[in-house]
Amino acid sequence: MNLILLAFVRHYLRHPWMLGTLLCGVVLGVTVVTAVELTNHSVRANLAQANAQLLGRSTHRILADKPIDEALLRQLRTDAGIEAEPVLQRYLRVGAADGPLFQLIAADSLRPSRAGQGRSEVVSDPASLITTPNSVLIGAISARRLGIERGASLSVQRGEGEVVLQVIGVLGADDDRRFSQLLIMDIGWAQRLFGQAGQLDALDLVLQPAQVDRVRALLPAGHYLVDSQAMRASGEGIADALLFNLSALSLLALLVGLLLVYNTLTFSLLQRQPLFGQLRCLGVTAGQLYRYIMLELLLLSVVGCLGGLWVGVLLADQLLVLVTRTVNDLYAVSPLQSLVLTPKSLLLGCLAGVGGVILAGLLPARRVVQGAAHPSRLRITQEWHARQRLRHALWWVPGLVLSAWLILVWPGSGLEAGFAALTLLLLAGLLVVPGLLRLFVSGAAGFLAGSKRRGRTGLLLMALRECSRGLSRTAIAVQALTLAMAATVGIALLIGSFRLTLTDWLQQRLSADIYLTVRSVVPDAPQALPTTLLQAAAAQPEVQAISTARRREAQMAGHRFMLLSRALPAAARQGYRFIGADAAAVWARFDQPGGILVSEPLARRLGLQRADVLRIDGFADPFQVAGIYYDYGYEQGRAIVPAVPPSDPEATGPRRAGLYLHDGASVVALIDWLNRQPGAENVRVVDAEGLLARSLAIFERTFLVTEVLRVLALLVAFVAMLSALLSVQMERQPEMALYRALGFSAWERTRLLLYQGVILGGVCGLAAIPMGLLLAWGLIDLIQLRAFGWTLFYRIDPLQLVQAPFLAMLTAFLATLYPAWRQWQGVPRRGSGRLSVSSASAAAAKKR
Amino acid sequence: MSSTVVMSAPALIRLSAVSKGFLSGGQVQPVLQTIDLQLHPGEVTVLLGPSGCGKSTLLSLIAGLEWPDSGTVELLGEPFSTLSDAQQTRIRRRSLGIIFQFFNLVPTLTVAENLHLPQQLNGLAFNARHIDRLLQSLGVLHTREHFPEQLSGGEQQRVAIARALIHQPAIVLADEPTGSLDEASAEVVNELLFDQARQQGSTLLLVTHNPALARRADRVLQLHQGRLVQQGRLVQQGRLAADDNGAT
Amino acid sequence: MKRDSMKKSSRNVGGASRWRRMRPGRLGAALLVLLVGAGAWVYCLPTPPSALSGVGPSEEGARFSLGQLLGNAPQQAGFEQADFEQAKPGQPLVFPRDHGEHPGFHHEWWYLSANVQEIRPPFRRFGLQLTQFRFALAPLSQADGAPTNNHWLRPQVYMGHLAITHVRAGEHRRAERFSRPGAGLAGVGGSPLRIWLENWTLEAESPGSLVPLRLQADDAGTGIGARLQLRALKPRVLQGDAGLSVKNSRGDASYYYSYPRLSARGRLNWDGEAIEVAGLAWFDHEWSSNSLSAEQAGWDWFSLQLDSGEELMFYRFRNRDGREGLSHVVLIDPQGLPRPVARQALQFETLGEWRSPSGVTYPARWRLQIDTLGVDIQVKPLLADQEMDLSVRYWEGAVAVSGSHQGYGYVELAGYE
Repeated sequence: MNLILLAFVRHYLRHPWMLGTLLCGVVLGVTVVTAVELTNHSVRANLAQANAQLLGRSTHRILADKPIDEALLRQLRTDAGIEAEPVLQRYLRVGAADGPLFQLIAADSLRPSRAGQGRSEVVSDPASLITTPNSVLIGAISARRLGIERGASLSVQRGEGEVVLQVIGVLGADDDRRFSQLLIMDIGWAQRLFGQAGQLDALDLVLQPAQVDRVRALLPAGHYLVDSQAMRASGEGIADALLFNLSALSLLALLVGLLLVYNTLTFSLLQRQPLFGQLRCLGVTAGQLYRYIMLELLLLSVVGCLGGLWVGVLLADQLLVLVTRTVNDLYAVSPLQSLVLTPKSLLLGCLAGVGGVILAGLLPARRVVQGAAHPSRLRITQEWHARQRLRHALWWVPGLVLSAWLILVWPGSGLEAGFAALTLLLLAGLLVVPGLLRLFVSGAAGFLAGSKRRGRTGLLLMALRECSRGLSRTAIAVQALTLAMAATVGIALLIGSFRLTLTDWLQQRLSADIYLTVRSVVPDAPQALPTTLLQAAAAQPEVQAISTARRREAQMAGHRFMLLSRALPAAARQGYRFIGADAAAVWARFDQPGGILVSEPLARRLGLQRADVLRIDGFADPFQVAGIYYDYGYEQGRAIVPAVPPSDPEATGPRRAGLYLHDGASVVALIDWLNRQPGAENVRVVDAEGLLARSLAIFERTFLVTEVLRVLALLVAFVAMLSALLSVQMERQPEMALYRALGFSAWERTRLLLYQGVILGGVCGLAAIPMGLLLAWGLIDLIQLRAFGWTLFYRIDPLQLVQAPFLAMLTAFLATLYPAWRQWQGVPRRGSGRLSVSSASAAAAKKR
Repeated sequence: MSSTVVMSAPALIRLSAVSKGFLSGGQVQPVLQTIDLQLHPGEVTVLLGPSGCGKSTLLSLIAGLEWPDSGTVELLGEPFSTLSDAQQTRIRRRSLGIIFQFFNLVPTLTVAENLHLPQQLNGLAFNARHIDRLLQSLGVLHTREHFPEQLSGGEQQRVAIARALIHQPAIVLADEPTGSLDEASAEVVNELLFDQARQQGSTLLLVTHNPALARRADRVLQLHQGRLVQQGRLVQQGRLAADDNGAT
Repeated sequence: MKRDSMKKSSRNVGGASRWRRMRPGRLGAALLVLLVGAGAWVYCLPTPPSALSGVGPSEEGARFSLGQLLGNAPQQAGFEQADFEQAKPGQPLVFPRDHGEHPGFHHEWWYLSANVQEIRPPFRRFGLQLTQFRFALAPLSQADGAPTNNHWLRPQVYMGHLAITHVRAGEHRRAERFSRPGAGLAGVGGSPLRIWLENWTLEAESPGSLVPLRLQADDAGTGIGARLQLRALKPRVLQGDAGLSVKNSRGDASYYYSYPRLSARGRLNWDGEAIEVAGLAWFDHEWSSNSLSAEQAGWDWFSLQLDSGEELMFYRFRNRDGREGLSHVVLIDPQGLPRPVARQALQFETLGEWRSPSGVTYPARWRLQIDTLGVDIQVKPLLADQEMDLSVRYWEGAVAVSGSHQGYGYVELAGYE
């Protein structure tokens, strides 16, 4: 057994709390990074998977803003000899209305070797699919999960209500996630099930490059041809901004974790300084010593990483639920929710952990090895050096701020640059914090020392001075806590601002008295509001005006967005606010032919200005941007064109309508009346408040992930603070013994510790306020704008600001509990007891 | 051991015009000034001086733990102070045994393991009999499997002596080894240190502020305001003569 | 002294005493326990376990086998032969109704083969075959009762085979298509009658009659196509007993009629080259619900159009034990009257073999002798490789007749392995 290694190992066995803290830091950091990385990867993979399920192997897809007549299929295949496949695609919930979401793809079950191959390659029994009413194949992976047997009846919720399907077979192997949450049905039964005889949602094509233009020329008006590759790409990248935000937050947690590791490591190494000195005297070279320390770091980080990976995978499983829900709320439907473990994600977590620990350990290790040569190197010099370092660190601050500024003004800098700049600014802030602490402490101490009631504040004074004295050990912890608190404050401010902006916006936008929406348990159901109901409502004397909205996906310059065609009466128009333009002029232009309103996110994404002329795929005529409106509903962007009278009876009707009532009309009575109308059973009738509440509920859900990460960062900071204070307190045990010998009561000693904790926490909390504001500014003006393209309005909630010092003090207080509790532990332990006898002389000798 | 043998052998330790100062308050405070010193094989030397006179610094310079501002330190004929850290370390590992007032033992290793540490560093196998014999002769065999913190101060220092001697170094440096012990324990520990050093034939340099120890030494040196003052108590002719030679 | 007593006590407990120093460890341990506990709690939350594989969609899919669908006939989808309509005596064929499809029967085909020659030099010779098959996936009675005009819901599958033999080029090209009746992609019906699968069509020129008939088919993938006008040179012939053709010893039968001699005129398309051709064609329409019986391995079928103005049709089933099963020989005289020939009167001899690239050995040359009629002919493929290596593998090719009579014809060899 290598005795040096043995000594190192025993050191940690003797200080398991230190080992625990170190591992905790690594584990927490790796956990968060791994979990978020896995979640992000899974979300992306699931989006890609859902796309692949949907698109099969087609090269192109024909879409339209209304159901496609299957005559087009015949025309393409028979007349033009194009390989085309019919597609119906719906979302279903299996079981109850809150059951898991499945994608149902209906195609021609019989055509194996063409466009639909990606799907039907596995349909081994096409005849049964064709001949058995409402028969489906289900992915084996989901069947196993839900306990569905072949031959079972499967009750599902579709837009039109519940229906029972027959499971006649399974797809793929038990673990083949390509078929996760997928139902395959024959096109004929699907048409009947969804009342779409003769109609298709899409046509999948396999086209040679030369055929593309020919097909385009064949398409009737309102139909458009999209490149499947482009669809896949945009579908997979749809949530990138959100996922990037999550990654950044996870890195923040990692940073806090590594600060914790750095702090504990520094302490652990300093504590062993005499040991290192001895080893040097015994003839261990500096290089050897360095290598031993690195080995130790490696072992620690590997063990921590393994733990972190394990917990990270578990956490990812939960995060995925939240993130998938957010993705579903915000972007497109991603029915898949399976965790994809890739070596890459796991490796990334490992690298972050091991690399971070080694990096965090490099500096203290070097310092301790260099200083190790003489065993009796004094604590005072350490402290002095620490102060020097802190002072030197201040020189970095202007440089960091300058770099951040340069990055921001760099033309074309995007989201990543925003994060980089924000990181630099936060770093600069962190460097200032220890100095701030010293300033505060010396000021307070000076005030107390001058105070007349000095006798009664002696303990406080001692605690204050001790805070300043122990800065070499606590600086990092202080920074970690400040960072975590700042993150808490910043994210809270962001969410608060977002909520305020959104509420304002919704209140303005939801200006109608009553809203009618299609009631559906599944997303993207193609139902429309019954025309008869709308006509009947319009005929009611209380109703002043009706606004309607139809929506469809559209594509412009390769970017997919949501195109709304809206009938907007004057009352509804008041709900729109425009960027830098007079509303009257905007509406005047909108009402002319070719007028289009563009949402802020869409305008930012495509660099659109007012009066720009744009072309949307599938539309013959160009549009001119009448105005750019604030919008927080859909980050991929929306655009509004005036609703045209439905010349085509097959065109999808409006999915949403707002009723504006005359003053004094009873909202409740009209809602009641609406609910009693025929055709109202599939229509959700809500008043504006109800819709507002529902919108805000979705918003809350969206930010749940962020909240979770915030709590995680706080947890890491708590551990950091705990470990830092513990290391200080543990080292002070002999000192405490001295105080005890001097006649301090246990309560007084406890107070001494508590004061110290609360002072540190309080200062961190105070420092976190400006830093939190800085972070909030960065998140709102840099990140949100760059990631989502929308402008948020600040809302500084004093309560959230005050929260920080309070939370920090609480954390510090909790961290002091254990050392304080030890003050009540009767007779000092033998080890410290012996030291306490010799400590007086030892201390004297040390301070020679 | 005959003095002629000692005389004919080259000096194990040779300090030539060594000066050392420390930065304090922006000014260099000289600690050692142009020290010349030679120590010969098997010689037992006591370095006396009041607290803060630079005794420990002198010891550190000899051990290679500090570097002189000027002058040279030669160890075993090697220009020690000009060697690289790694080279110094190798010499230290093989030929030096050092005992301090505190922190002599690795707290997380047992007594036996502590003693084995220098053996291991020198690539020697675990020699239980040798360890036991040494511990026996220092009267601390019973502590063999204990951790340092379970020992009394006296026991700790005895083990420290054992560890400094276990690999039979040519030179043993001791910096106030009994400084924190009560008088009785100190007496015993010092006695053992001298005996063992003599038994192994190691050159011993003991730094202390206790003049009482001087009588056991072959040679007594005194540091005064950073300068070496020689004291000729218990003079053995040959050795004094040798010193005189060296000084001239 | 206190210290001594402590020292003693520590010695008493020996090495174990160092563990007493580890009190602060409780905290570290507690932290770890907390972390592990949190992990365990998270794990225990009620959500589906994760799937752990990260493969994308594989590029290589299992090839979908239609042979399975066709080979086992009605039993395939869990139906009995009896669930379908059966060809039975006493149900005479009625035209033009029976030119159309019979969805109550399990399978049905419309077959046209032609031997044609370029009308201008270099007078190249071609064989052409277009067959449209229909298979019922379920008996009509099984179909959903609700009336529907949604053709996707009709449990029918159409398969088309198109082949052209380019004798001079020594090349035989074939193409295959499938479709369901949904969206009007394939079907049989209308007036005038139309038999179509996407852009492969056989279309009557006038209502109430199958002939004159127009054939139009193009396949971009193989570069073959044809546009032919077909006129009957002889009336249709009801095969077997007034169109009821018995197929095995169980008495299973099909309805079967032919137009044994049609004039064909039009254009063939070969790699974009339009070739004006003329020649003779043969049309069959047959439907039934029976499959091969257990002892039957396959069949050989000859349709030979002789220069004498006669057609000789001969088919025989081959049993698995190598013996010949049920067979049928008919000679159609120049007026179009079918004259059944006793099997014993025909001497049939296989003169050669050909092994296909797919590894199947087919007979390749034959001698047919009917002494009573003065027929002694050799039948030889115009091209050895006319294998239809498609979802269903068989050999169907243009042949030349020599000997006592000259002429051309088509031979179908099914069930060789």
